[in-house]
Amino acid sequence: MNMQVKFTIPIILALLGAGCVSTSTLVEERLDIGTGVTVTHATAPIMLYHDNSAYAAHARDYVYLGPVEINRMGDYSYYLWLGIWSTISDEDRSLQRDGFESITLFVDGEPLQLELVGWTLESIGVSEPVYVKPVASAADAYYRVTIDQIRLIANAREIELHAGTAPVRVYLMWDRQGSAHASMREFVDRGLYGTTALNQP
Amino acid sequence: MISISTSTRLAAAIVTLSFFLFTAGALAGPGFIAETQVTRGSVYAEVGIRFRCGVQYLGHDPSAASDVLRIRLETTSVCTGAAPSIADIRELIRPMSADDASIESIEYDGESPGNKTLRINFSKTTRFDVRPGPDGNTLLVRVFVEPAAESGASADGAASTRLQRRPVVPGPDYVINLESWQRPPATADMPKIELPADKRVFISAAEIDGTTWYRVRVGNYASAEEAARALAELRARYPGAWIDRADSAIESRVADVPVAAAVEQPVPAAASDETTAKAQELMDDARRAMTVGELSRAVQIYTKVLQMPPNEHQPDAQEFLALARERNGQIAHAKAEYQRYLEVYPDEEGAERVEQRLAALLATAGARAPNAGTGTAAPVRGGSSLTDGWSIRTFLSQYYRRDVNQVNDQEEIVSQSSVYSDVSLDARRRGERFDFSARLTAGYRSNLMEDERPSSGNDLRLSYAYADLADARTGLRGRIGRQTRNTGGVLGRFDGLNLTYALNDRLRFEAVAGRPVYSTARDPDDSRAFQGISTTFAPFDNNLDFGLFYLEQEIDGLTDRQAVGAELRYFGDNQSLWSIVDYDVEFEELGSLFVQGSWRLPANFTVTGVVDRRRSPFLSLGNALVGQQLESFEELRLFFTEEEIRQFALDRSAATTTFTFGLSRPFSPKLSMNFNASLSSIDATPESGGVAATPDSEYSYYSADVVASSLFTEGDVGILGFRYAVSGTTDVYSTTIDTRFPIGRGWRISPRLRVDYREINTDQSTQWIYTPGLRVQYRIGRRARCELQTGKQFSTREMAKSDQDRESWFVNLGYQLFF
Repeated sequence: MNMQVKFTIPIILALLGAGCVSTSTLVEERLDIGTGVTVTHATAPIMLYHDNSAYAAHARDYVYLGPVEINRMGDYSYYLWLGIWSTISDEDRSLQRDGFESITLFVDGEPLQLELVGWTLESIGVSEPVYVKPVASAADAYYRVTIDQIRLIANAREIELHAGTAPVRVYLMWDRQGSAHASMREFVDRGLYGTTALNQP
Repeated sequence: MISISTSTRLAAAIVTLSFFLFTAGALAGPGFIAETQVTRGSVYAEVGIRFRCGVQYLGHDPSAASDVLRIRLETTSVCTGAAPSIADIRELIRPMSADDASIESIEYDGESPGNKTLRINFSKTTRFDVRPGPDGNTLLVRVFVEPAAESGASADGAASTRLQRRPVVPGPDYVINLESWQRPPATADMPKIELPADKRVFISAAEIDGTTWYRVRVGNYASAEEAARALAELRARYPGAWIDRADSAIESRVADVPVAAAVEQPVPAAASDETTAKAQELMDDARRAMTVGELSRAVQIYTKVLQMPPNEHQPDAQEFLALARERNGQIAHAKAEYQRYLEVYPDEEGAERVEQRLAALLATAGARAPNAGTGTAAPVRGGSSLTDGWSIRTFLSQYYRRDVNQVNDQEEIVSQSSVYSDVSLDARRRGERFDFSARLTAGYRSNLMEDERPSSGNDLRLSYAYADLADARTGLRGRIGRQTRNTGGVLGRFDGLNLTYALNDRLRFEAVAGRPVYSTARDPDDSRAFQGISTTFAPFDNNLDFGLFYLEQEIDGLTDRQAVGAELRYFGDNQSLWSIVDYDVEFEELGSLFVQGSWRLPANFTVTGVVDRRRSPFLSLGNALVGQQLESFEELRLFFTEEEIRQFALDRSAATTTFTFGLSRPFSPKLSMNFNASLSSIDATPESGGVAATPDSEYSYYSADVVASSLFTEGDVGILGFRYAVSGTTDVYSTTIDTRFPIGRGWRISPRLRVDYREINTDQSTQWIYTPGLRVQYRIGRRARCELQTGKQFSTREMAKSDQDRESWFVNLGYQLFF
């Protein structure tokens, strides 16, 4: 027990330090060295969860959701990144991808059917990870969207994600995510007030 | 079936609340006809008849003129402030200002199912026209006024002022006004319709309340009846078209409106190369204006392009004109311009994109109002109008589950054969000030086996039944009913009330009270009740959320939990951190601590770590019941003192700790790898209160996954996983191969195989387990999909004296619909 506490405190301090050493921006833009495209993304993704309280009080599956803009020499495309992970120690990690090939996002009740583009960076044409994975075992998934769909999500009070059919897994929005919403809105406003929306295909 | 009486009462309360909210805007009145309104114009009087329920206009007779008009109706069960049966009555009314439309009375006869009629009795033979209203529960009847009857003045004051200066013009008297614009219509705005040789399209202008309106019109028609016939044909493309006196159009010239060039101009011919080049130049100029944020200038330039002779740049100009207005905060204008695009260029490649932009604009108009909700308020730009209708969504899903087991060639045992049905209703209404939403989500498991065990019976689950009201003006929001929360110390689902006050986007206060719901198939735990307060704010950084909470929960009058805690969530450019701590001040013990962090290092390495320490089950006084032979906490109190119960609760809540470390890296855009190591421990619990002690235990695993895409076909993915897990009794080596193939637009096929090798230390036996599986998903259109999952498991266990073979299989087959 004492050993655990000794391990715990330094890890927590290190993580806290890692998280709070810098003042961040709401939207990040960078050049993807491998492909030469400009990648823009919200810094803070929106967090959704699927309750598994029958398993344990804190047992949940999570989905992080963030927008991605890819600028290929003025040709813009938009994606939604999903980081899929769980606090449950499933023996088969690949199962957490089940149902995410075709998902429905209910944005304030409005259904958006999203089709998977792919599970790897190749699917959006970049060579470096866009978002920081919450845990190493998280599955990345990318869906093609429009800036208008991202705007809907950014302004939503409630977002619900349905994955799978037999059974349907329902992910709800985690309460109180001021930074994530601010980040999403900043992303959309850059599209609205910058040059990107003009250049949509 | 398990009783859910409390939940039923709750649902009834929500339905009642919804009912009152639905009826808030309805006019009081005893009959099926809720309201009538007669508006007299210079050409016709429009009679609007609004019903309490939805109506479907089936037809009318006679077709154009008579002293009696019979309208055939079908009614719907969507009613406002009344039961659908109100549509089955008879009633007779005389509207206010009935004489303006020569109406003596309006009779409604709903007593004959399938033959409901509305009869309008006129005081004389009258020409008329009927059409359904825009909202599904209104009919509009136009009664054409005889020219002789309106010489002199109009009922409309403004119109009569203009008409006083109207010169007498001989010839055809009527025109159809297709559209009215606040800017001179451009070439692209001119209608592309076929007209008889004696009819032409022209533009007139009129000034109303200081605003100049440019009107696109067709004419002239000799009579109102002829104009009405033409209007009926044009209405499909121009639903807002209306009939006017021809002299009204001429009056604009009399008024000397400075748009002489626009008046009665013919439809221009195709553009020359010079025009196209000039348009290109203007488009480039407008684009630069957009880029530097000179939106008003961009609007002017795009308008100029639209006023030019037809050219290839006009569709883009129309779209970007709308976009410029949208960015400029002119939401109503933007909507009109987007709609204009869809009317004029329905077949252009940008039509779908414009449709989406328009839909987003309509949908977000309400969301952009300041809200008291989740912190999602966006800045309000301009005076955007809000959608005023209800949005109701239904989600339905069903799936069949079958599990079968077999040991050593014995008879198969079916352990489950059930159909799970779930339905969810979601109703929302956005208002200028109030946003309302309500949700009902329930599920039913139908057991298809002839099984007498209580646990295998049918059951009804109620997951959500709440109403939610947000007031944009005060920043208050309330939600009552069955709902979930995961912050503020609340552990998931509960029946109760949650109130939020949002001071701004980043600072809010909440209060919550209710009873926890541990199972959606049972009533809430009546012995427990909680109340709590919490706040969330962003103190130091854009991407940092910080929250504090206090929550107290009682069980039969004693303190069950008394928790204070905090949540911190941070997302930086290359780091993320999320931490929740819950400390019980009554037990003076840490209830739970969860810290998850990740850090992206150079060379695209990402390091992640999780520390999770908690009491399991979650620390509460009620845990003292664990292991006892008593059925309720009340009984426990008869046998033990409060101090003893508190100690038993601590003894039964074992401390568990998990450390997880991970490393992830993409090696190419098509290939990524990740490694994980995890160590979990569960502390021993002592013997107390007649419950036996439990020893401590440990479990750890180490895993590696490789994810590769486009191995065989474009878009496929293969995942190869290795895992070694060790516990006090078993060592397990696992290999997983999981593949996913997209086929066409709708099919997704995922075959997989897992192989486990177990070394069981208790009896020195070994076991091989093979688990093949297949998952097929098919999307049917935009609102339906179905899925099949099936898998089989073969295992062989080699023990000292004999072997044991097991087989099991399962199938899940389901679909989901939403509409």
